Amino acid sequence: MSIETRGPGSEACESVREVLPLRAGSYPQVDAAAHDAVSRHLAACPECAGEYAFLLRLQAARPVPPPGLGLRIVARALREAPAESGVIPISTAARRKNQPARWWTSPAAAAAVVVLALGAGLVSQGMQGEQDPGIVALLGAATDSWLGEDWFVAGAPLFDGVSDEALALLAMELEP
Amino acid sequence: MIPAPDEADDQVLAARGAKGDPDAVAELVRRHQGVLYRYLLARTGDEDRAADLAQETFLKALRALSRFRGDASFRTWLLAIARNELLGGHRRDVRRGEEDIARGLQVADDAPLPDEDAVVHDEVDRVRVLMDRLPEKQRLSVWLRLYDGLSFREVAEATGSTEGAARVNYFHGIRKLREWADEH
Repeated sequence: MSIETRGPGSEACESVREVLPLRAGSYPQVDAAAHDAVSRHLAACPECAGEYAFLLRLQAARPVPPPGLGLRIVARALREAPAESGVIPISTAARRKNQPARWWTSPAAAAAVVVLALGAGLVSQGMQGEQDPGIVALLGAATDSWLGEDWFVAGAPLFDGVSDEALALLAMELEP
Repeated sequence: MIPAPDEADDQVLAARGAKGDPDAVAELVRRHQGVLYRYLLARTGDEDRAADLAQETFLKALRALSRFRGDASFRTWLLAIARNELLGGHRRDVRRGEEDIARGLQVADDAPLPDEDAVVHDEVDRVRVLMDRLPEKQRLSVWLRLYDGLSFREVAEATGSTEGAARVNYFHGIRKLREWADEH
């Protein structure tokens, strides 16, 4: 990224202020050289420094998707994808790849299924007594988002074919 | 300017997804659910509706993966589908959302001063109320640039404007937000 940042001045400030939102969000488009150049400019320009501080304040209020949204989308996509579409129903795809469905061996994926169970209200009282409080605390915020008329606890087949790693990454989004 | 993150990877993932690779689908969803949700939230002002629309939009996109050519980035292609979704079937919902926002602003204006114990929460709410006061294109330009790091060209594609207009909308939006914040 090439930006004119030498000292305060309308052209330099204009260049810097285009980059400030990217820097405030720590986006990788701002490479190390640009980052350093902007830092030098901010140290010398109170106006731009003020704007940067304001952008950081806005960034702190960045809305995030509700917990579990990604998993719900994937589950529906895998369940509903019509055969003629580009996305092959995953159970078919998994069979084609001869890929064993090992999702339950992943702790994160298993935790996601705990959420399914909690959300659907299908965890028995006996089981509730055995729940890991840490997992419940971590995932508790997600339970409401799993309640839906088209949703059910048989989550395992829904993610059939998704690797442990991919499912674990999605499950991490459950963390508030 | 360095290209948007993972843009090239997205094309590979889309191609894999179109062939039925479930991991590719999961990764595309993981990467882009945020920008999609925020775009829809900025348009509707309703968290539940934004989440529902995000699901519907992503499902449409995944069904059409084989038609994704990579002429635009995956995320702007996704946002274009969301935009069409809103234009096609949810105009009434959007208007209702704007009315809700207007009512919310009225409530916010009349609200008592925040409790000190809830400073952080209220700061977030205060910022969001300010954001909601912006005209839609300015709000979208600010959100997409600041919250998701889109280029102004991508912002233009997502908002149906020119790159210059997207840039102007962003800077006008930030200027207004700073002015309003200084008033409080």
